[in-house]
Amino acid sequence: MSVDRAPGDPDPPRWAQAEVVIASTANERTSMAWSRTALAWAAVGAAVVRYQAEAGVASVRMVAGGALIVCGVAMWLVAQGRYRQRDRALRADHPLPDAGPMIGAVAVLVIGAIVLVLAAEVIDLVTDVR
Amino acid sequence: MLGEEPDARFSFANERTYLAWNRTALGAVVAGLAVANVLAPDDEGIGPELLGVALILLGLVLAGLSYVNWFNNERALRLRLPLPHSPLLLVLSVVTGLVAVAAAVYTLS
Repeated sequence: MSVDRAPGDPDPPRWAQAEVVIASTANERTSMAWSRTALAWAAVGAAVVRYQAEAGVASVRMVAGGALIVCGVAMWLVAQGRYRQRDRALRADHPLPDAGPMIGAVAVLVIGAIVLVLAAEVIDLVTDVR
Repeated sequence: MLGEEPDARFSFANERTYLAWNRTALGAVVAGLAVANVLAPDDEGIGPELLGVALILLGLVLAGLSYVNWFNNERALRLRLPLPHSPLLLVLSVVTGLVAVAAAVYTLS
């Protein structure tokens, strides 16, 4: 505990207990990490649309870039809801909801987008070699 | 679900680590895009494009391995086992080093 208490004082409320405060701030940092990641997705999507201008087939890179931007926005929105949900779980001393589906979806989407970006670049490379 | 609920702080830390790897993977992709499409003029041959493809491939590998890393860490946390060693840093360091050498050789030649 950060505050000295005299013997016999009542326990502080749960939200003021050190472990809850530390876990709540960890939740907040995690939410900010989601926001940064969402911004990174949108920025990379914009870079794909804008700068991969000569590479491969236009539709491939437009799908990859557009998907990254849309997924970045969706990720940011979902992260806000998850922050609240997990904050409530921490305060109520409930277990955190399973993070597996969210992390798995992110992994699948980012791998799909990178495969498309790679495909556009490889098509460009092969065309140049010919 | 497997095992027992871990300390919430550990789950948050594992998730943030996954997200940091996700951004690192995207960083490699952007670096590859920049090398292949922005920095090198069109008449430079295929050198920059090969380098760009290598970096995007690095991003793809990191995006996949970082999920495995998150999953194995979460599993170890739930089963109260020591965290497994991750090959991610080694992959990142070796490939970044190789790309740097290739870029230096290409620039000097």
